[in-house]
Amino acid sequence: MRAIEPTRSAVDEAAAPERQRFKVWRRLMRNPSGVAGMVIMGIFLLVAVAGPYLVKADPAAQDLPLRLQGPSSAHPFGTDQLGRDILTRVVYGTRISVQVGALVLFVAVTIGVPLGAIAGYTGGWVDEVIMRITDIFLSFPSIVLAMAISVVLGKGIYNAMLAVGLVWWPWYTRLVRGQILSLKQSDFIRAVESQGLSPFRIVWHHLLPNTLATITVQASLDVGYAILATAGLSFIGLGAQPPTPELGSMVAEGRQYLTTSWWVPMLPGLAIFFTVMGVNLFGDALRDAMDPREIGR
Amino acid sequence: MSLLEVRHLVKWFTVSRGTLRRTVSYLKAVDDVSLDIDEGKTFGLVGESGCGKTTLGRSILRLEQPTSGDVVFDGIDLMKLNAKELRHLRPRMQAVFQDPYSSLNPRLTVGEIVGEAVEFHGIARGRERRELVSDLLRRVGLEPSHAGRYPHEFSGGQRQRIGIARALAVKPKLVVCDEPVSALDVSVQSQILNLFQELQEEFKVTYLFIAHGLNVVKHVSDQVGVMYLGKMVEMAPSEELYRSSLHPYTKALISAIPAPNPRQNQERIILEGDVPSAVDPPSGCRFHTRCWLAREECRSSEPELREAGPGHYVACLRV
Amino acid sequence: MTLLEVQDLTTEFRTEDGIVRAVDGVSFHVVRGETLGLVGESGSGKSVTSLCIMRLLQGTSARTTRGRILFEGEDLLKKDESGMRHIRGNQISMIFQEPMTSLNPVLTVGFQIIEALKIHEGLTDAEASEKAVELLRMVGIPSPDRRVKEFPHRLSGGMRQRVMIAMALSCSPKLLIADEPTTALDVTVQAQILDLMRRLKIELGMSILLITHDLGVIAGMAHRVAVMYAGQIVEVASADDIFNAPLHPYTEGLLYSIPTLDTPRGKLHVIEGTVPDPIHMPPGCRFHPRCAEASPRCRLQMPHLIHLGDRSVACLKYANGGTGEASAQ
Repeated sequence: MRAIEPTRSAVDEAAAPERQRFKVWRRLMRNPSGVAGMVIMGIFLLVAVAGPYLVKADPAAQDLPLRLQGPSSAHPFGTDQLGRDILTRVVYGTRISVQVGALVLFVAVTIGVPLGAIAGYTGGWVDEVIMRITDIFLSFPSIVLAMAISVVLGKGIYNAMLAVGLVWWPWYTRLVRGQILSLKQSDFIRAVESQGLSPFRIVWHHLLPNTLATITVQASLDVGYAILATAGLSFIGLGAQPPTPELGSMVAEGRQYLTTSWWVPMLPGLAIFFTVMGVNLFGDALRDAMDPREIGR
Repeated sequence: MSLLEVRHLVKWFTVSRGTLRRTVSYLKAVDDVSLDIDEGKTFGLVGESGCGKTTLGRSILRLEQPTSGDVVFDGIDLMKLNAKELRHLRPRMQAVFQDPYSSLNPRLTVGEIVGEAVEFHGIARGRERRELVSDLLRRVGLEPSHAGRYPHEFSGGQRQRIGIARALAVKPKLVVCDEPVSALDVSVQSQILNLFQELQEEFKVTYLFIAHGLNVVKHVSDQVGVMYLGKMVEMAPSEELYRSSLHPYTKALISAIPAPNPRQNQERIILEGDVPSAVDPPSGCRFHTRCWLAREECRSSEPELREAGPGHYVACLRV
Repeated sequence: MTLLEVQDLTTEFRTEDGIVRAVDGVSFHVVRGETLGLVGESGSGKSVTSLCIMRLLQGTSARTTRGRILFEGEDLLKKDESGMRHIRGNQISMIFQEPMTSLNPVLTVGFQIIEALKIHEGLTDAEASEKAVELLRMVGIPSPDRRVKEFPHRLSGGMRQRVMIAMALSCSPKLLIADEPTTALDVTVQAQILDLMRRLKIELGMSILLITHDLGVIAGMAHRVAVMYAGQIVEVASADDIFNAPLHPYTEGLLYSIPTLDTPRGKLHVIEGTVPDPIHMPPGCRFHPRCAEASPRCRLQMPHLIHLGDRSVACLKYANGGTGEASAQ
């Protein structure tokens, strides 16, 4: 229970949002799962970026006589049913997954956040219309909707990403709208309204920056789900098409070999698992670190 | 000459229930209030919670849209302005808010907070703007170097100074001060009250000073208005209000203020009951449920605000 | 005669930025049947002091590192939790500032009062219910038999505070700690509540430790007053003495800077500066940076409470013969 409120008197130290960010960082570093998450994410990011330089093989190169070989020194992750090196494919697959995370979130945030801001700040019928559209999107099971959009857009990994992004934006609209509705009542918003600033400026310069923390945390948690959703689409054949080494489709294709050559579906599966877990751990820790009650006034 | 003329201002909030948002009743926050403020003067507005003083202040500035009534500011009918014209006029009528912890955007520097509207309205740009901000900061008792710092590094009193600087930066004629010292430590309150008075002399601004403490309001105001449940019950020059208050509520308010003097024999008027809700307020005179002078007529007819002496208005059937 | 004696109480909080000594060497006492006013602004440590007495700071980052809290001769700091539970609500009760958040919103008013009665006084359900209604009547709530069944949100702020008082007094405690009991209330309601407290105190013969920043409230209620600043007691005296002849410059400043209804227009007396940052306390006397009467000594030496007759003050102005040493007690 906070019984005292440390008051701050005249200032002698350096500027503050640096202090704020620094505090968030410090708190993050103190959280073991957060650090673990960051490490895992770091590894995967590194693989995603530097991958092609680390594994020289061609992910599509088939070597049929060598099919379904277990892990060995030549092929550390073994080979799949077409003799392709699984390690290479996992590396390229990770690249794709990272892109997936980024692109899906980009689409979702770019559509969802402005809509939420407009709905929240304008109110009235604009708000009603936007919210009803949001509700319609949200009333469909997201995977089903993603599938439907995917079918319309056509097959392929990029279309799958677009489909998932188009299904994802409503959550951001709701999230941002809620934040803005409550921020709207703050004194500092009333203050800038009383100073005659335009609605656009108020939303852009004052309201949205204060929702940044929540959006960031939500996005970091969603990256994992985005990857899973896209992998899911590929799994059922709507996303990545062969021979694209997408982790989900690798699991799908390798399913039948689970009992005989476990490395074929398992290793890509584990790659998905670790990527998503890493991001989730980080997102959770980030949320805890950014909790305003911890930061104080 | 009057800088501000408010006539029959009404602000009702709808109270709705249910999924279909049916209007169940109205919260009559401000119910037919009129007042005048002369240029360069301070009008103090006092009352307890639910009296509508804050809503009145916001409605005058059109931060809340009045349900009906007229507000004429510097000769301009505010109710006739569209959104754009209103925004353009806003620099001339500013506000200082109660809570120093929530009235400043935590993500902007002090300099940005104070200078933003100055830049936006084209009052000054670039170096000129920075100098304006520095000057103002100094004038409110801070350092120009504070412009690069963030609000949370400052104490409540200092934050309030920043808020005042922000209001004055756009060169307003009227400043509505909504409980500007209530959230501050006692030892800091007098600093800020003094600051308000100095700035009024220097910048020639007019204040609408809203507070719940009659002692504070009386000290800074030329004229005081007492509100109860959305109505103005008494209005008079401040000294007159204190020495010869007429309305029973004003008397109760004065008597309820604990004086820091144990020997002062306070003729305590202790009111019965709590302040009723502004949703469906009592019939007739709204104060009758707690008034020791109440008679039958007080329950049925609403008293009008009439002049009982030079510049002294009261709304009571028993006076 | 002395009901409560706090001796050299020191409580620290461990924060991210360092150790905050919210209460530093605080000593005072409350006599049976009197009201002691504890006055201070934010950061003075007055609330923390009261929480320490009630030992309600367990599970926070607070540590009481020094001192004794003697209630009827027994040191509360040495009691274990079950011992304290026997004291709380029973021998010492507390009411808080925010009646909104001090009452459990999902329990009826009656339930909350009855709880305490059953635990401390061993009453049966029926007996406790009856007493609850009586208590509500005693605190001036109209139609108490109906109100007993209501939930807190249906009551106004003033009523809720009355309920809090009813709960606090249900077991006839010897000491009532009231932490800013009327600050969140309208001034006309405040007058009612203070009046009620005054009456009940006499009826029940209890002592009150009244904590507030409002000197006006203190004037009408307290026999003696202790003034706190930045975690320390700076002056203790009878209410008359404090208001008519304050000794400590802070007390003086506080008194004269508040506008009363009689204060003429014009500049108010001010205390310059702000309350110090608890992490970076000024050296020597904590008030010296703001004190109009500060001398170079004040920066070097921390003043201790000096006893002058039946009052005390912690200021080097009153220290003996220019050496800055405390006078004999």
